[in-house]
Amino acid sequence: MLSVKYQIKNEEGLHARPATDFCKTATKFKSSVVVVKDDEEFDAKSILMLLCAGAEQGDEIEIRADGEDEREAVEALVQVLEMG
Amino acid sequence: MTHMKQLAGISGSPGIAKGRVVFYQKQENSGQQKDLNAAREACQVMVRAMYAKALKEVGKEEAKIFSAYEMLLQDEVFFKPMQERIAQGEDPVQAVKEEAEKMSRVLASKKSEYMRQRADDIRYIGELLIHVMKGVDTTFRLPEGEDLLIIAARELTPIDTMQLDTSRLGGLVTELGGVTSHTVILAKSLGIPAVVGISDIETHAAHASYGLLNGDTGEWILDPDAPTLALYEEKLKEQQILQERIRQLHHREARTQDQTRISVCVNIGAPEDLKVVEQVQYDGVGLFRSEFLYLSKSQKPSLQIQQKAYQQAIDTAYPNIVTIRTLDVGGDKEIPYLQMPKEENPFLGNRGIRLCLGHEALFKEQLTAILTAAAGRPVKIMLPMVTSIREIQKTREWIGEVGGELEEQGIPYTKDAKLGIMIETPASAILADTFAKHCDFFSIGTNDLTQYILSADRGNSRIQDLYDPFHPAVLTMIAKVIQAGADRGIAVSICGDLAADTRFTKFLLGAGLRVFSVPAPLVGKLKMVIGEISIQEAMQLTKKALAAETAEEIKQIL
Repeated sequence: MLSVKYQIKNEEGLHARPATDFCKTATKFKSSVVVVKDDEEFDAKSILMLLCAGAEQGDEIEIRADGEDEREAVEALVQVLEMG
Repeated sequence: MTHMKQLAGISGSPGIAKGRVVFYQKQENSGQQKDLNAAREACQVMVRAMYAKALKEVGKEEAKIFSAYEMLLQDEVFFKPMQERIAQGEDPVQAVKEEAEKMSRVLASKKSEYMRQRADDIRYIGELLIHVMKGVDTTFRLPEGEDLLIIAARELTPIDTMQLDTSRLGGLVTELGGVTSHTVILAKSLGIPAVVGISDIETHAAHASYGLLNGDTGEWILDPDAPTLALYEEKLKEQQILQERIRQLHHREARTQDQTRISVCVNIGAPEDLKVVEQVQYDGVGLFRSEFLYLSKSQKPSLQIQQKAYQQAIDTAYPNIVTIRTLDVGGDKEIPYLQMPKEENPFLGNRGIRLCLGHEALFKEQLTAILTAAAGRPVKIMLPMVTSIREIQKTREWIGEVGGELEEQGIPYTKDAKLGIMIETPASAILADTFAKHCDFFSIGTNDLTQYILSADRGNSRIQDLYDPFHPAVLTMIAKVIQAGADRGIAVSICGDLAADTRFTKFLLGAGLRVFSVPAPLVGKLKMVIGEISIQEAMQLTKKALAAETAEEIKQIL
């Protein structure tokens, strides 16, 4: 399992377009991917779960991937957030 | 003969429409029933088609909602509990209905407006699934004919709206759905008037045959009498003529009646704001507020993020030039990483260029981002809240230092950066003639200038009547600054509210202003007003206004 902490810089937080892009990217990988916010886990391959996480600008989240392509998954997802 | 009925709703999308009133109701023709998985598949096909249609008819931004629907239909978390309940022998329709409602309630309880709207979307998708499962034909057939219709509905989902034949849509009026709902946004993009918040809409629509819809006021008039109809016919004609004129002007350069070329620039708060002017002729970005990059909660924006934003604006606007205003904040805004103590008087405190010069690393990083983002292209850097020449000189020194470092490191950057100031403090306005020797351009920030000259906080409702841009002190000062720029041969523009307020256009042209910078949606209207003014007449008006002694007199003259 691989995990990385990330602080949301995007003004829109992790909803709307950023959430859509994040979810689409997560779905591309075989590994399971979750977003952890305030000790709660949210399935990153579900747009609904990402919306429920409700991560706002400035919030710290953890991206956790588990599986054969976990490294690629985490890297790609951080990049999606950076592009925000 | 039915009597005229006037109903008051809420304005959703502007404009006026007339036409037959049709109540939107889905036909309950039962077709072939489907199980959940087949319905899910069919719905995905449907929303993909909607996406393509929306992309073609209204644009990429508005089409996104349908791509979000597709994601929702692909979401396992959404479907899993439904599938489990169905596997246990529960009624499929009931299971879908309850699970969609449950999920919708979760989002409806969130505090962000965005999520609450997603709650509606989940409900719509639930309903769509159920309709397809039941085999109900979800399309609504408009009555035969070619005339424009006013569609009345309890609620219109984006899917409903996109399924309508847009060539028949005169106007939309609904009972539910707010002014920020997707349906209103779609109506705006389609240029169709819309009114929301009409209660008991079905009864009203059932008893009416013909209607008038005023999207500007939120009025819905049913079975109008002859005088009302005539009045609306007149309004409709005016609207068409006005829209046509503004539309034609979008592509043309602004010229006065006597063919003096006037520059009309746009103000933006983020690079995306330039989308509005994609199809419009404009003469540059007169004000790009950079604050949006800094108002993050906990850390300063990285150099890369700043570069990306500036570059996007510079590329989009090219060959027009972008004027970037450097960070303009003070004690009234909280930016934790800057350690800004609360101030008694933030508007007279450590703000704008004062604050930037006190944060050398932060300010130099912004200058670096601007210079590198503009590599190979011209750019304008504008300083806010300037009160002394020293502030301009210091910034120029720092720009030189930043440029020197980039040169040494072999990083490409622009060598064509003009440095100008906002004229928004009385000090800079009074000494405009002197300041003009030290910078390349002026832009008058009329909002702050007005409140500083009149010593009246524009946010304080008890002295609101004292904040008056018609005050002779304000207009005299503005005219003086424009004159100082002309004398010293530097460009002067206005980027404050006064530039877009067409009551002042003639006065400003008469005072010698040739560059206006306004919010993008107002470009067309300003060009139209400019086209009706002759410089000769404007100069006489300005002279008369400047001779007046009170704001009331000036109001009369303008």
